[in-house]
Amino acid sequence: MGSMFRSEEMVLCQLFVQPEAAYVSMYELGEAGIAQFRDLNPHVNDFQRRYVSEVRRCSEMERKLRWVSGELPEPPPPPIPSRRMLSPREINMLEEKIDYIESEIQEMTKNARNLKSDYLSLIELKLLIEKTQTFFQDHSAQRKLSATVQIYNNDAVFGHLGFIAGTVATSRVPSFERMLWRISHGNIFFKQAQIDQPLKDPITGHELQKTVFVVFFHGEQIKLRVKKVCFGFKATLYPCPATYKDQQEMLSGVETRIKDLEMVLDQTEQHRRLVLTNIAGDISTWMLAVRKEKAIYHTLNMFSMDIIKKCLIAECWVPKSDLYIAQKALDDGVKASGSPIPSILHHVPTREIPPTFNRTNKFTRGFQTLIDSYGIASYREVNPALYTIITFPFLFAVMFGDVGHGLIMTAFSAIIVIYEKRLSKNKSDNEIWNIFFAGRYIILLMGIFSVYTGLIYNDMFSKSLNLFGSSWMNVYDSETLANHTSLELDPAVAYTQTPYPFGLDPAWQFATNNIIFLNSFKMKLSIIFGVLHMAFGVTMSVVNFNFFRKPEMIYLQYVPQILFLMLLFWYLCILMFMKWTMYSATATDPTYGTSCAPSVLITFINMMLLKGSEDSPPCKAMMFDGQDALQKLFLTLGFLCIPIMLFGKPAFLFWQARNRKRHEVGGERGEVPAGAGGGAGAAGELLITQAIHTIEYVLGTVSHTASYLRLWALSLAHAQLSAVLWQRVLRYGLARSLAGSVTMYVGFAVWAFFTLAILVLMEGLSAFLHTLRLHWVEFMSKFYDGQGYAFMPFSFAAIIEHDDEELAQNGAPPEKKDEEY
Amino acid sequence: MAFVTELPYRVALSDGDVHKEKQTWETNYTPIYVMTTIFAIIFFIGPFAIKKGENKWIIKTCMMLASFFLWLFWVTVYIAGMNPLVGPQLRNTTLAWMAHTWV
Repeated sequence: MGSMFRSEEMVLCQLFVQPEAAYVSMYELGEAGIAQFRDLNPHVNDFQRRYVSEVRRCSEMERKLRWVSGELPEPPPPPIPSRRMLSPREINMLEEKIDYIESEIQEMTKNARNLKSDYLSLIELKLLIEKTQTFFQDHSAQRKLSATVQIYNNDAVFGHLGFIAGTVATSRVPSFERMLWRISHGNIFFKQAQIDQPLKDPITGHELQKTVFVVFFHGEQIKLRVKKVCFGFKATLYPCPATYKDQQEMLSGVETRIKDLEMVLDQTEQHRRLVLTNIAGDISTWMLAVRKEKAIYHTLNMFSMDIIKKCLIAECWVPKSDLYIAQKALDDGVKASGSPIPSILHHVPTREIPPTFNRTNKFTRGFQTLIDSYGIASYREVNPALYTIITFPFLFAVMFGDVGHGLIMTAFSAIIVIYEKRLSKNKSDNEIWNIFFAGRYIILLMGIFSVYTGLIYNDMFSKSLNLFGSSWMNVYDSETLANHTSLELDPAVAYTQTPYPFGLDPAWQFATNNIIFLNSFKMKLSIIFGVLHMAFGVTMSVVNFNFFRKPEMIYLQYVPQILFLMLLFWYLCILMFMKWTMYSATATDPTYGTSCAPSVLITFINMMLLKGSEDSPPCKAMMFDGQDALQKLFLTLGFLCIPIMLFGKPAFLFWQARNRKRHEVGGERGEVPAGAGGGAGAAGELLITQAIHTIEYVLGTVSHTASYLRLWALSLAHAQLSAVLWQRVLRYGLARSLAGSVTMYVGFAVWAFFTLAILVLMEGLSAFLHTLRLHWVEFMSKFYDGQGYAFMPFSFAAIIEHDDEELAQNGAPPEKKDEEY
Repeated sequence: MAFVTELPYRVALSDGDVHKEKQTWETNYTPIYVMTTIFAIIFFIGPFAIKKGENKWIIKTCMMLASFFLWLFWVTVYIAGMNPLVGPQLRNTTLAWMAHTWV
């Protein structure tokens, strides 16, 4: 059978592997992604597990690699996928290499940092000297005293004043000055000059604004205080000579040192860049290998150790069709390790519920995700995703129907699909783009179907296409036309009696009573689709009953349900078709003319309320002979189905339990049969559950049928929005003079923007949501159980997808969410 | 707004060719046969054309579903339009233009 019809059969397997062979086998299983392992040591702390040191080692390597790739100037190239697995010896070598690289780069970075701080100090010193020259030169009168400058205690003394020079961050200058003023009681002289260009902080790389300052003071005490304040404000102090000559000497010395240092810095940077470039190509591959290894060891931690046989035991769920891959993986492991003891794969028959696994390809994955978002299917129940491939885009298109917008959607998604290989390589963080990319096939199908429904609705940007010739024609002479601004065409005379061959007639687009005709038609259309979709859903339950060997449920549940639905609501649809075919404007018998056409809705309501209606000649109350009797019959049969739905299943189960009890009591004496005690309670609960289901279904048929009217509502809204945009925005630029070309340019821009933003994006999203609701609630509630849990195999592909995000704290591979391409 | 039923006639305003007779038309069922045939071929015979491939059941199901729904959509629109009970209400300029260009 097709792979998507129902989920795959799963087998619980036990693996017995030797520890030496385990690594290779796990590597192959990880590449294949076919086995979901169960944790056999749930009560063991993470740090007491067998392979915890290996996991830790891998985490360390990963951390180092991540740090190194953070140091790279640009993101590293993607990894080269290699199926060759690394032996433990190679892993050790890799670990050493990573260690060595990390320490080398760390050392280089440290050296560079030291060099840069030296460089910064030199630059500051140079600027300090340049700026303070002005301070010392200001005091020209003091130049005589410069001859008598004494070096007092190795500190700079200018005249009788001592001074301290240095740099401080500009933002701190006001408080710095205030503090100095306070502690010295105003006995200092503070001069500052801001450095114009910002300097680079060696550690953080940020830019700093610094100010040069000189503090003149007198006395030892104040000097100590000033030094303390400088220290508190993190000002760097420099020895600045007082005399002009000394300053020039120092300046030239500093400049030479700066040049040397710049050269050294350059070379250091180049060397660092070289080392990084050399390893840039390999980093991603190493990272991949390390991650795989960590995942393997983490999974191996889930195995339990058999003390006697000294082998590892694992339990895993494997799809039945993939068992040969698992066997091959085990055999490869044994072969690679050279161990004489083979690994064993052993089926375990079990009553546990297996996980649900649907094999999908890139096309079907999107639709399966839509269904799984509602609930994972129960094990081996019928999978609605197969039908969703067509019904979802179709119902969307009924709501969206516009050729122009459909073409835009198709073009957009087709481009993404054609370039999907290239686009999938750039991993993006943009959530919205990821959603569009994951759903590209859904959007493509939605667009194609929208083009079809747009052709049928004959709506292209709110204009209709006349491809086959309209069936309506003008029947008025020029005088009538001149005297009346608006005229209605009578279908008896102005209609060729053959409908437009494909879709709605183009004449309707110009009609002012367009909505009256379309409303009636689209409502009926929605109900027809709705009843068919729901009947399809109810019929799906037969497939489930058949598979799970419950044939009695077909008679007790399916038959009454489908009869109830069809006898009442499909009869409504038949009435619609009858009204369309039986009543005509050209009918010779006035009973079947336009004025006698009955309202189908009123007829249906009267049927349900058992209300008779009178003939008012020439119109008849009923559409055909025997309608009254037939309707009463349908109603009776339909309502007879309700007690069957309500009591059928409980009665059957009760009767079954009674039979079983009779057999058991006959066979074993003196032993209380198992269902007896809970019999009354269980039966009551069963009745209540069945009552809830029945009420839900019966009321659901009415409410869900009405819910399908959203197909009408949304398509009406879409058509109206489209018409408004054309008439109120685009039309103002058409058929005007040369100046109108500017209006057209602007008008087109506005029209195009709103078409894309409102009609394609917003309406598209809205119709998508409504279609999703129709599937989830109206379609799937008729048969879907959805109590399963997803199959999450140990797979490298899934782990690599979830890269840096969501790595669990203990280094576990992240939970597999819905897969992306 | 009154309209004339006893003298239906088509007017081609450009060359003043005026037909004053009452025209009657027969319903042409050709489109139904053609479209039903096309979709029936896709529905019944199409699945047999897909013989191998990993996804052949999915493709067959999709063909059958798609052809059924698309045909149903088309046939519903067609039947709804076969005996219209109201006609479009158009402006006189539109009617004149229709008579002129859509003849």
